[in-house]
Amino acid sequence: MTSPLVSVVIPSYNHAHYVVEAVASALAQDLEVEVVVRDDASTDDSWQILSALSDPRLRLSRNETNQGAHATLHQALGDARGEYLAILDSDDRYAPQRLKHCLAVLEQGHDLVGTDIRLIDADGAVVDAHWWRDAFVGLKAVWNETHDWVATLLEGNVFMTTSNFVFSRQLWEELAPFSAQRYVHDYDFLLRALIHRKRLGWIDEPLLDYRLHHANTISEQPLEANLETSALLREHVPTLLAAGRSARRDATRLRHLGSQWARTERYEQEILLALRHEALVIKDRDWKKLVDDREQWIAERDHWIVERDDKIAERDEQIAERDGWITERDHWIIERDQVIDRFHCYPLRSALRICAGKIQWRVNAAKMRLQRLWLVPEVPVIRVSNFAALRRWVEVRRARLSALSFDVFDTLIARVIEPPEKIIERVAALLGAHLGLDGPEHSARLLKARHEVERVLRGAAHADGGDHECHHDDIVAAWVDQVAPGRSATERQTLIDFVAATEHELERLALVAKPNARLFLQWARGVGLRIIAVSDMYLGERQLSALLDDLGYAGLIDRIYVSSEHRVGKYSGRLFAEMLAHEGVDPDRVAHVGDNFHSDSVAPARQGLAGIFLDERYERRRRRRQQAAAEFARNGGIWPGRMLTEIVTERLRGDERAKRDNFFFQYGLETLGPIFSTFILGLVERMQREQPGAVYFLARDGELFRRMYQAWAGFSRLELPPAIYAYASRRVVASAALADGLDYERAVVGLHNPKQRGLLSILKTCGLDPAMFTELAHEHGFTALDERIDDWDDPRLVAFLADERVQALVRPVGIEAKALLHDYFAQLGFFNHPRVAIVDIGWNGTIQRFMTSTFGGEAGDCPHISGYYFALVTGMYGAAEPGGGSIEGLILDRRRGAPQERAPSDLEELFEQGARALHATTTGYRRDAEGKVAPVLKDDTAPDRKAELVCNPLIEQLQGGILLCLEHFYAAQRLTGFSFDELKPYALALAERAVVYPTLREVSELGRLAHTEDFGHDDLLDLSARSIRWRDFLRPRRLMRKVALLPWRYAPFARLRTPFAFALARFFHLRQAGRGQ
Amino acid sequence: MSTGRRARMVLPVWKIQLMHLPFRFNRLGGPGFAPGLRAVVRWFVTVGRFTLFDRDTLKYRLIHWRQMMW
Repeated sequence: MTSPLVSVVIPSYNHAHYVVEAVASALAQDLEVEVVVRDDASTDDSWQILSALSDPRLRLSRNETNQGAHATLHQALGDARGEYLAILDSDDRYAPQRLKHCLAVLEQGHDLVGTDIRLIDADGAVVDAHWWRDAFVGLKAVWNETHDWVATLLEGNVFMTTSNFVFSRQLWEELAPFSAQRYVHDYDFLLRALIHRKRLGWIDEPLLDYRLHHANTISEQPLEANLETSALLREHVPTLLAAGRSARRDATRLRHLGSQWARTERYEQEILLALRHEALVIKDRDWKKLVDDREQWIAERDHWIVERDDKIAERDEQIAERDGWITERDHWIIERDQVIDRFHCYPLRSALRICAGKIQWRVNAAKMRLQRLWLVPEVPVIRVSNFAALRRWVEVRRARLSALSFDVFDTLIARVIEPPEKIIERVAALLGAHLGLDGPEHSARLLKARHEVERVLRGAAHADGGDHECHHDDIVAAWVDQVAPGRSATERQTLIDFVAATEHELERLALVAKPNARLFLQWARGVGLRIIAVSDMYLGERQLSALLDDLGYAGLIDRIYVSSEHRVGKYSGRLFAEMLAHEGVDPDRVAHVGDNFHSDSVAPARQGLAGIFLDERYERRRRRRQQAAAEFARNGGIWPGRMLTEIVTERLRGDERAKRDNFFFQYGLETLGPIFSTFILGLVERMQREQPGAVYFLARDGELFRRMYQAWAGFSRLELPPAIYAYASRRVVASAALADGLDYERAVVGLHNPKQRGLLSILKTCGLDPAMFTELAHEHGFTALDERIDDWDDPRLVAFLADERVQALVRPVGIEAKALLHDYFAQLGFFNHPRVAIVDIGWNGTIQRFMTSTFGGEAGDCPHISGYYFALVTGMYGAAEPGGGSIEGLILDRRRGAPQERAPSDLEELFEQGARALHATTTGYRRDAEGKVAPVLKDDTAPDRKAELVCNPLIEQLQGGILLCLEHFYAAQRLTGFSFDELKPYALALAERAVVYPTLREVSELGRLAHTEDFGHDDLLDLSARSIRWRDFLRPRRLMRKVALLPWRYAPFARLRTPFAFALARFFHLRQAGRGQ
Repeated sequence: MSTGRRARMVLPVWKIQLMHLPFRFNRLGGPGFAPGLRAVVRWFVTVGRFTLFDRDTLKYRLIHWRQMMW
């Protein structure tokens, strides 16, 4: 293969759009060419496009990594094999005859030749006006003028681009490589060619198209290009000018050099100015942002200042208002002082004047009221006193009536708490607790906010042309927005739902259906009357309908009209007008019934309906009682408890379950129920506060408390510690305590029983077999084991306890009992918690004390035990706290020294009977085949247990009443929010009434109760009262003896139907209270 | 509900006042269940006021009386 004549070298980089055109223009030359293309790792599609080209004259190669234009050009020139070399940038293109013409000039002896250049744009269209073209024309003019390459090139690079280079291999081999400058390496090549006296040629034909596009090298960094030009001139000009041989020519060359130098300097200055301008623009942009921020801050600051000024103005107004009040008050004080002075000077005249003023004020008020009443038009006023009378009224007029309309509240349903505002107060308190704002001051603030919201909404409704009516949903939403602003939409909705649900729950608890009203509605529907409910109420129709359905009115009411939905009220008569329009009935065919004289009688009568005033005496008195109770509940003392029981009684009135004709059920419901429920409330409060691991209710009297505690947890859905029932008795813990021997402290526990039988009682209380100790007792001087010991320091007893033979018999029994007791309580998880609570009825906390002393101590695993007792007396152990725990009597704690609490201890048996489980007392434990420990209960064949079994049905009735009371007690407590401390005084009053002031029937019925005592004997404790007769008063000593032996010393006086007997009972009571017994 | 139940559960104020007297006379009074003499008096005044000035009944009586007379 012969070597090609001309090699066209194309360095390619990211010119995918133009490279094909460049290659095609090179291949289109009408002479033998070799096209050497080297791609410099283009990142666009250049290489893919080039690879797709197919021509034997085309030689493609590619750099693996980008090497730069300078290196790529050298590599391509190195690959070229032609005798002549031509360079073509990948975005430029040749005219078809270019190389042929250039070759002709080169073969005339020139070393490098260039041609005129045509400027084209990115699409290949010729560009006529551009600074680049002007620059080329100017340089070309110098050539045309001087025909001196030195002068021309000192003016500037007329070749403009390496694409305009066609040169001989010999020149390349002499001058290679191109210099490393980025912008003037071609200019350098030309100047060096001149220095080496090479011949340059030029063809005055535009045989090269130079393309202008967005990525031209000339537009990259003009300052850098000019600086490179300056450096190049400094390097080569001395050599070029030194070769001059003519002064005239040298002057020309210097002129052109000066021209280029001046141009370059101007460009540099302009570029520097442009760069400075650009920097200033950037800085201005950054500063503008800062200025904008500053302006925004200033605007915000001004806004804050305006707000602050508004607040200051508001404060100043308030101060001015306050100053006005103060001035007014001072004025009043002065007036008052004047009145007082006058009173001192002329007392009678002043008193008369004051009285006359007050009377005048009241007369004026009465006059105004009367005038208002006088304005009531002549409408028929109908009054019925109950639903039976209403039925008679309707029966007479049945033919003329097609519908009956009813007020809802206090007519169809009754409230158990008055005034209705109490519900709102409670919702505010619960909302405060929900928001973490506990305390009366927060509740008052929330309540005030609600009133304000309601006032605004009612005002807005009135301004819109309606009555002062607004909807519950609007009130709740506005209230939540006011008391908890800035919440997200989800949190806001959650709060709204909480308030709505709480209010519905409380309303549901506060309302009871009136049974006679329900019966009446059933009858009225039966005779074909349409039943409509019309209510002035802020609750919506949906909420009211749900309440009525819950209360048993489902299916009894055809349609409900609520003022909150229609924005008009009954009092104006507009709600009745709306109702008539909706129903499409004539007014004279409808009768409206309600308890509010104006809204339910006068207002409907004005609309042409028959307005019936339902004036029920019981409802009227109930409202009065409850309003008074609510008013006095703020005073504390007995009043909160009394208000709560008012609520309980009203709820019981509507509860069919309470209508059981059984004395014990009613006694549990009315007397023991409120007292025990108060105790359970106190227990729950303590469990919430202390959070022990578990609560152990001790047999047998803890059984009822466990059921009540679990019922309370179910009602309230509170997370309370789990309740566990534990079979235990004084006897089993006393036995376990014998593991270390029988000491004096433990022994005398058996002597606290009023019916104690000396050593026998001690041994039986500790679960020891008396037969084992008979001989030893005789040795120590006891004639019989059951000999009563009145002197607890009896030397025989001390010696008996000090006898090591006695202790040797005692200890094995104690060790075994202790192991069983430990394993039983371990089964119940007792030792798994660091803190546990024990609940029992009382009275000395013996079981807790024995447990802590048996399992406590330094090496013991006994948890911290908090004992909560219904009543705690100090008979056995004084005021001592048990080691490793605490102890508290909730209703009675003798350590507090409050004599008013004494009633439960005056008749312990009554409360024990009320609380006890039906199973027998625990006498010990046994281990079964699987190793589990189970309690051993007293045999049912024992005589005392037999008596107990007879009483069990009565106890069941009693506890049924107590549990029913608890249900209503919980509802009342939820409605009022009263705490244990607030309710306790009234519970004490109830206990005092039950114990000290029983009725004859109570004494007689409660006397039937009996249960086994817990001191190891088979004795029976009964409440039967031996009668005291009149003649006993003639023998005071006998009377005192009789009374002292009675478990219920106030009971006999109930039999004597005279105030004197009660007065005597009070005397004893007074005397005991005075002694602090 | 029977009046007996009301009397047993909602103790009359005067009865509570009398029940606490033994403690009062013995100078052992305290917070206990004493309602307080002034509170008891106020209670009766309040209940009497409610009874005498029941708004609806009073209005009804006056209007009824007026209609009967004229």
